[in-house]
Amino acid sequence: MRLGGFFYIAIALAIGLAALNSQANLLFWTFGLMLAGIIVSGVVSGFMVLNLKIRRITPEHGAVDQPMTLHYELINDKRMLPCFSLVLEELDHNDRLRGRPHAFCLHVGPGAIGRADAVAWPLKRGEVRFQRIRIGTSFPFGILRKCVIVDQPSRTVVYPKIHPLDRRLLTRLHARDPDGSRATHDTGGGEEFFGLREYRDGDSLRFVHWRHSARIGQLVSREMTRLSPPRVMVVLDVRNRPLDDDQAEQAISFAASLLNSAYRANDEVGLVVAGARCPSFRPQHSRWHQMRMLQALGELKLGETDVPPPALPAVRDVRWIVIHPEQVDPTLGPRQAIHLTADDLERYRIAEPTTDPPTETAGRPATVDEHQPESTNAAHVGDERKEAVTP
Amino acid sequence: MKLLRLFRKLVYAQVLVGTVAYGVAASEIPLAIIAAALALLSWVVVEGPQGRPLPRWFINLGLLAVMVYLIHVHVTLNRPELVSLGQFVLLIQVFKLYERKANRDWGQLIVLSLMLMVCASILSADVIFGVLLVVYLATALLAILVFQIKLGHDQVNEANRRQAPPDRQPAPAGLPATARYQRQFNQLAAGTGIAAILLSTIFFLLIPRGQGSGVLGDWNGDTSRKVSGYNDEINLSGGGRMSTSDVPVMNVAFSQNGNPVGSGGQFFLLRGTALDRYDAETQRWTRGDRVTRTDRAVDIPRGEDFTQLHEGHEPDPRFVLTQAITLRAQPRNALFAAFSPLSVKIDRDVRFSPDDQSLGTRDSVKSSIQYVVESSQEANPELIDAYRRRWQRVEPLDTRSGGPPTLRWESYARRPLPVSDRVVEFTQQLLADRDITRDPQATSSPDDRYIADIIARYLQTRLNYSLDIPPVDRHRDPIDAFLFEYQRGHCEFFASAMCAMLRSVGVRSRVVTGFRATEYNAMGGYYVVRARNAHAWVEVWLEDEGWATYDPSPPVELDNLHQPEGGIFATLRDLYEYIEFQWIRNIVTYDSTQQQTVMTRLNDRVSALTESVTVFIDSIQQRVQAFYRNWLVGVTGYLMLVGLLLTVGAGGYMLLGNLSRQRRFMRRLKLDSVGRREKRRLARELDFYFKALQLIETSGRFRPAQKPPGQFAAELADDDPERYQPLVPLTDLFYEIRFGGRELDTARRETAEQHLNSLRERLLPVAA
Repeated sequence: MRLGGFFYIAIALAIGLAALNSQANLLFWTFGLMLAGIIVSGVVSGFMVLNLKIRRITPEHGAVDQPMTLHYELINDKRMLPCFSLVLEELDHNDRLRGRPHAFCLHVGPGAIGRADAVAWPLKRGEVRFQRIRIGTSFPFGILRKCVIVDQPSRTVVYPKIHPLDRRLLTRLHARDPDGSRATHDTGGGEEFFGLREYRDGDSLRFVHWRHSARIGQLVSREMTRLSPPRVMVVLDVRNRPLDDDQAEQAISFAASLLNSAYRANDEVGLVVAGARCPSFRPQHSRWHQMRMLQALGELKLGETDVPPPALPAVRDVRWIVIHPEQVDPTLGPRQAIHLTADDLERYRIAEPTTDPPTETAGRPATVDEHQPESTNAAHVGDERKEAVTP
Repeated sequence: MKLLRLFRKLVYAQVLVGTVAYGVAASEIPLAIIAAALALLSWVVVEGPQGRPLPRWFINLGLLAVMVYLIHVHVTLNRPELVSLGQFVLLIQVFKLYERKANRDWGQLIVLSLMLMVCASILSADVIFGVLLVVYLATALLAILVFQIKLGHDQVNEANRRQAPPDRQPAPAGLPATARYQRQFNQLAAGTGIAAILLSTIFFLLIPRGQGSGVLGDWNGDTSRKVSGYNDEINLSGGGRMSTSDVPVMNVAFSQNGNPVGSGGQFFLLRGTALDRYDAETQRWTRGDRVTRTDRAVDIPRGEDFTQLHEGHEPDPRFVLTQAITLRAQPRNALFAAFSPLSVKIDRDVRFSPDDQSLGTRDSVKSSIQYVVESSQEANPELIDAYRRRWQRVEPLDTRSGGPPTLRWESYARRPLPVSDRVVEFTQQLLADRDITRDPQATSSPDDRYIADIIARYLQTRLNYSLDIPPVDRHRDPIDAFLFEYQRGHCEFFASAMCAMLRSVGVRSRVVTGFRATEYNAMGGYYVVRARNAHAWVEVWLEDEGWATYDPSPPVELDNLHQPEGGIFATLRDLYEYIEFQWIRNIVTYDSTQQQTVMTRLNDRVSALTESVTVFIDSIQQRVQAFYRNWLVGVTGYLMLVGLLLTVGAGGYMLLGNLSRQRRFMRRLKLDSVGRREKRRLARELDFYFKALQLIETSGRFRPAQKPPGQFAAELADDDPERYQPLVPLTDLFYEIRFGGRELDTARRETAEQHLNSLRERLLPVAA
């Protein structure tokens, strides 16, 4: 029973007393109405949470200090009774999240599916496990609250905090390849002439070198150079020294931010971690590749022993950048690598505004309009700046 | 956001209806109008587009001022506590409308409004208030339901706000409500409302009455403000004007031997009090000491059945009149009855005076009251003896020895009035003119009836009836002035004059006050007695007949005065009063007696139902046995028969279901523009699309009526191709058949089935 319920019962008793004292029949009726209210409230709210199923749709990932939207689908299997004012709450406390996510669902019709969204705010990177969800309602009169607890395990990974980085850092890396030598090693897709070859079926007529073809009597196609983006290899140093956890986390966050910025700048980017069990990633440019790297950083476990030394992949034309937690160890990585420490993050990080403009849907807990497409119910990151940060 | 706006409107409506209802209940209409106007103004000032709440300190200061003012008014004007409390709650409520309102404040407003209605429910039981109460409860129900939604929504918003980083606070989310939500919300609200009302009616019927009354003091409303026209004494010195108010005082349904009695031309006199003593000093008629002494009245505890007021008297059933009386406001503890009461059934402690046969409640009842009285139209000496036998502890009035002389029967209602000698001389002269002489010392005379007739006829024919009486000089006897100077007056003067004249020649008589029931409501089968029907008449003791009733007022004027109004407004008024009467009889005056009746009736109904069910089952058994005897088909035959019936039933059910589905589908697809045959064909062939839409709806997506099917399908497929992609080819098929003039041939049917199955597989809800 809720506080309002106790209050309601106190008022009902007072009215009952007044009815007995005055013998006024209207008061007897009002008293009867209040007693009926208790029964109806218990029955209706009890029936509302009956035959109610829920499905949690967790996002594949979140990021520290970024809103992470959990979607819920509420399936009302009842034939007649709709559900109103359902409050959903994640029960099991997880220290990787700030508070417990709550969602609100205004209405689920009988035999229909309602949707609700909860916004979680991750505090730390790593795996977040969800277990039990409490669905409760105190509708219609708020006297009694009926709840069901649904056990539904699921997990997601929280990426390290990703900061927008100053473009000077990437420019500095790109400056290591002033002659753009990689642009001539392969063919295709660019605008610069590379050579001639015999015409093959499927070649565009626009690429036929007509003069040469006329000269030799057969079709010859032009080949163009292929533009190759810069390659960046990030080496994260979390080797087992007396390691300050905060510094190590900041180094991980720095690495993740760098991976993210490089990806957004269309660079091919790879990752090697020294001092923790983590696969090495050769430089590539794809969304999937970027997410795998960030996930690896998110799940990185520090302080492990017997970690084999990192195998630096043999990649040509790549710019190496090594991130150390505290002190620079120049022995790690190739000779021409740039060494940075976690503290350098502050130098390259673009300060985020102290207050974000409020977003209409970021905190919206529920979808209630069944006519709206799902995309309108999802949490959006409203401004361009955040767009750039979101992995 | 629509819901939140609706919530504010609902709470304002609740407050407004509550304010008006309180104004009606407490007869504080001006205050209610001012409060309602202020409440409406607060909607503009606080909730409007440019609205701004008043500062808290201003609200608190205003509340303080109101509290001081109301305490002052309460103390100085000595208002009932309940009225003062109601006013206080009303003004707090109005002030709170002007402040910034969080959920707590909204909750307080709802509770304050409920408290106001509780006060009003104690103060009034009028039918108008009842109607307002029903409207109020409906509004309050909706407000509370929407408030619960708002609370849940705000709880989640608050939780989200708390867990968000301080610099990333989310904006409060809105609450968009769809048409589907609205319809189901309305249905649920109506359902809960009806369930609550049904349950509350059961509680209302079952909660025991009469226990604990007044343990916390007298909270009831003051009904003394209500006009009744009746008084238990007569003051002849005041002059002035009798009440001409049309306020209903009671409803009386007469019956004799179970048959209703009454018509437009028939009237009854309802006795209230019999006044036997006239004080020349104060010029008042009152009840004499002999009957007002407590030990001469008997207290009868409340009972669930009739309490006999006499013993051993067998009244002639032709002269027994039963009256079911609903007294809307009891004036001065009096209970009314035509003639002398024989028995009474009432859920109150009753006080009965065998001397003047008057009834009353022991304690004052400020609310409406319902009772049934059986009366004898002949108050003969045998009945008086029967009263005496029943109440033996009451000292008999005919005791001639012992006791103070004032209690002796020979002096009861017989002592000459201290009026001028002129009255005595005039009466003797009046009788002498008819050759009648009577010894004033004689206890009775065979001419007493004739004397009473002569005096009554004289008064009726020679004096004028008038409601406006000039004030009489205090040193002058008003009866003398009435008889010889003004020669006009109202019923009290006529009755007083007749009594004075009768007593001047030694005839025992008394003045009776009560009501003259003349207005018969054929719709309800009862008489409506209004304040203006208050009346006074005379009862004369005749040795062989007992107390005989004489009305000396001129009958023509009296009839004119008591004539019910006619016309359309009177008909409407009758209708309204009939509703009000039903309201009072069934709701307001429901007591333990009625409760017992309801329970007995319910028990009888249940018994009758059980009996009829048993009889029905027996008859079925007999029919089955007869059938078995006549149609021996064996077990297999019966099984086949049952199977056949089930098949037919299932077939019929499916057929009806199919038809119903088709009709719904036709409505939904707006196939009105095509012919009937084409419409049926389309409904039959496009059934796959209807099924697809139903499947889509179970996944929580609904096609708005204004959205073309193609656009709807494309949007869903874009949004979630894995689930909704099959809707696109189904919609294409739909277009082909609906608008392309194609038919659903085998190939198309198979395609539709495939896509439909695919959609079904994708959209099956996944259990938790």
